[in-house]
Amino acid sequence: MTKSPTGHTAFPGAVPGAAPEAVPGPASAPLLSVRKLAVTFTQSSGPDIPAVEGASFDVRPGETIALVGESSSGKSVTAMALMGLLSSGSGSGAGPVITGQALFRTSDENTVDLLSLPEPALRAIRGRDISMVFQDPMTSLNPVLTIGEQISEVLMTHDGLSRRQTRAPVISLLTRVGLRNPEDLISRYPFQLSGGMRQRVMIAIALACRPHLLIADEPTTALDVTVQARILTLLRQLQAETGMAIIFITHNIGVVAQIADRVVVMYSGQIVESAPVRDALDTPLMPYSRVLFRTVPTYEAVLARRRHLPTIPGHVPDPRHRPQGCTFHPRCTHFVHGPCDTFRLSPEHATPDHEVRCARWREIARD
Amino acid sequence: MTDAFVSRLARMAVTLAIVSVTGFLLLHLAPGDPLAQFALSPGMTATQLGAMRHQMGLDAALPLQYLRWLGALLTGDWGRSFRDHQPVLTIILGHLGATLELAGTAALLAIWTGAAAGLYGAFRQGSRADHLITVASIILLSIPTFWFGLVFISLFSVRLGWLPSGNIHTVGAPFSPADYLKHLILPATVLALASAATWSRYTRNAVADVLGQDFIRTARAKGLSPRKIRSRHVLRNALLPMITLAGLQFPTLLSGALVTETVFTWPGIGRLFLDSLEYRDYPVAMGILMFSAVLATAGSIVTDALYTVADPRLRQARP
Ligand SMILES: Nc1ncnc2c1ncn2[C@@H]1O[C@H](COP(=O)(O)OP(=O)(O)O)[C@@H](O)[C@H]1O
Ligand code: SF4
Ligand SMILES: [Mg+2]
Repeated sequence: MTKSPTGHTAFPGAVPGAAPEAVPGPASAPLLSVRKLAVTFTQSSGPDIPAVEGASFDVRPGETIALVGESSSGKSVTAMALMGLLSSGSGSGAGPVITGQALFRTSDENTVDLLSLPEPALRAIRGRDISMVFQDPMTSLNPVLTIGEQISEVLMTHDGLSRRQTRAPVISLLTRVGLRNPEDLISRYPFQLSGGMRQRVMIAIALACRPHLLIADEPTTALDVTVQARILTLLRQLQAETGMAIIFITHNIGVVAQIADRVVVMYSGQIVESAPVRDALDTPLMPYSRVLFRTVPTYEAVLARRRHLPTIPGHVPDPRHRPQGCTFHPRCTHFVHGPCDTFRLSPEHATPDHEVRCARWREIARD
Repeated sequence: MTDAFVSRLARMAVTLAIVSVTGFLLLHLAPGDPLAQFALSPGMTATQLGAMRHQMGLDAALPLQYLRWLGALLTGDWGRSFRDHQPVLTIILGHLGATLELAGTAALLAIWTGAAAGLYGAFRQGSRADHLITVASIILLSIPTFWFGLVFISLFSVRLGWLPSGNIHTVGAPFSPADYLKHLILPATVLALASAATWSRYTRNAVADVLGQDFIRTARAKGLSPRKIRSRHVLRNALLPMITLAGLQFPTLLSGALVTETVFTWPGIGRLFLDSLEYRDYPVAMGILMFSAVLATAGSIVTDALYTVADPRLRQARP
């Protein structure tokens, strides 16, 4: 069941539910185009926390992007910023300072900047055009509402259905995510379900309005290994059915090889490498990604072993006191004085679709 | 369900037994004599006093007295007042209405204002209003009820003359609802103050706690409006701890009523209790004690039942 990096057969139609169109070429217009995204948490006491700096990447229709990197490298903050979920949304607490641009093509064919869209307009996109699945299915569902209520409220909000009208689509959603006895399930509460079942319910909620983009933030990390594999299979199958794009945040390199078309590596709030999955796994250029992927050098080997991220000596720098120059330099085996610790680096194109943020990538590529 | 209910009843019985023994001991061991009032009557001889003491059963050993009282109570006989020989239950029921009206009004006031302030603070965490509500609540909680009673009387009754300082209605005047309400406002407000502060603190924390939960983030990711999120997701979950508080506040309100009724000469059970203590009217005092204890334990049973209704996790999980 190896999925080729561009092996999507479906593409989300402009009208939800329309017949899938032909596979678009790599040149097809991006569904989401993130440019220079920066997120800075300001604190009343102490220095600012630049959680994400200058992140740029594209997501094409039907494509799967794997966002990888050590814990606290800024993956979740990136996702939450795109969803507009970093401020509290209820008027209290200003939230972080977010700059940059994230152009998104909505289902009604408008192009909007997610980062500057007012909250009500963003609400119409959340859960309809862009959905999110979170890491912990145990806490992500409301404990006092039934499964049926929690799925149907998305349909009621975005599709204007009445409670009664949602029954049939809710049952069909539960069936699609592989849950048995959906008629019985709709009146159940989350505590009556296993972790894997709850994550399937979360996926059903996310899919309810046929989103064009699904952001899955470590959706399998909290689950057992066997359950993880099944959820992953489900996501791939649903993607084949719907043609949605996926931003898949993960720690698991095996998962990357299985699901991703492109890999985006984050380190210390910056995107340090971005490439098609084969290039990223076979010929990573930035020393950090090389450590991530090199230990098992080939794409096939990674696929076979389902490795987790290897650990690297040292630790992710405190975002308030990042090192000068390349933020990875204190841990880098290719470090040289001057190029590595003087200037902040910008991403460079190694090939048209392979970007890398490293002063020495040319020499490293020659190795 | 039935098992749990039976064990609840058993625990309730144990609680009541402990309350009765403790109350009985404290009453009888405290200095003072129910016959003191008669001893001062002119022409009362020691022999007559002794006969009275015997007739009232006060010359028996304490354990025996307790068992006699308990035995009678278990057959539904609450005894008679030492003072006027009225049946204890009749006296209590005669004063119950006034207390329920006072405590009920106070509870409504406290819940509405307290919960509203708490919600406001929780939804605007860190705002000036939030800080203000927190500080006001702490101040209210740290000042005793009787102080507020005296200050309110001196301000609104004595100084401003807006509201009566005591009693349930104007003495000698025919009953009118307006007159009754005027008399109710001050004591109900005073009784509500501390409780409102508790409700405000508790609601704020409960709601703030819910707001930080992952499922609220899920609700926002679904594109729900803030209003929908509050009414469906936040309140439904914050309701659970608030039900608990309602149960906890019930006995607190009863004991607060004792002070308030005394300050405002409100003819309820609280004042009746203090009077019965003053006159060493053991049957009435014990009756009120047991009556309140039953009310309080019954309140906690009702709370548990409500909690089970509100929280699906506590309902029997279906297989
Ligand atoms: N609400 C917040 N306030 C302050 N700092 C935050 C907040 N959320 C995240 N951060 C910081 O942002 C950085 C990135 O976090 P995150 O995106 O969650 O990392 P991960 O890659 O593990 O998902 C971390 O240093 C974290 O401490
Ligand atoms: S810039 Fe220098 S320190 Fe940074 S990753 Fe490249 S080689 Fe290593
Ligand atoms: Mg994360």
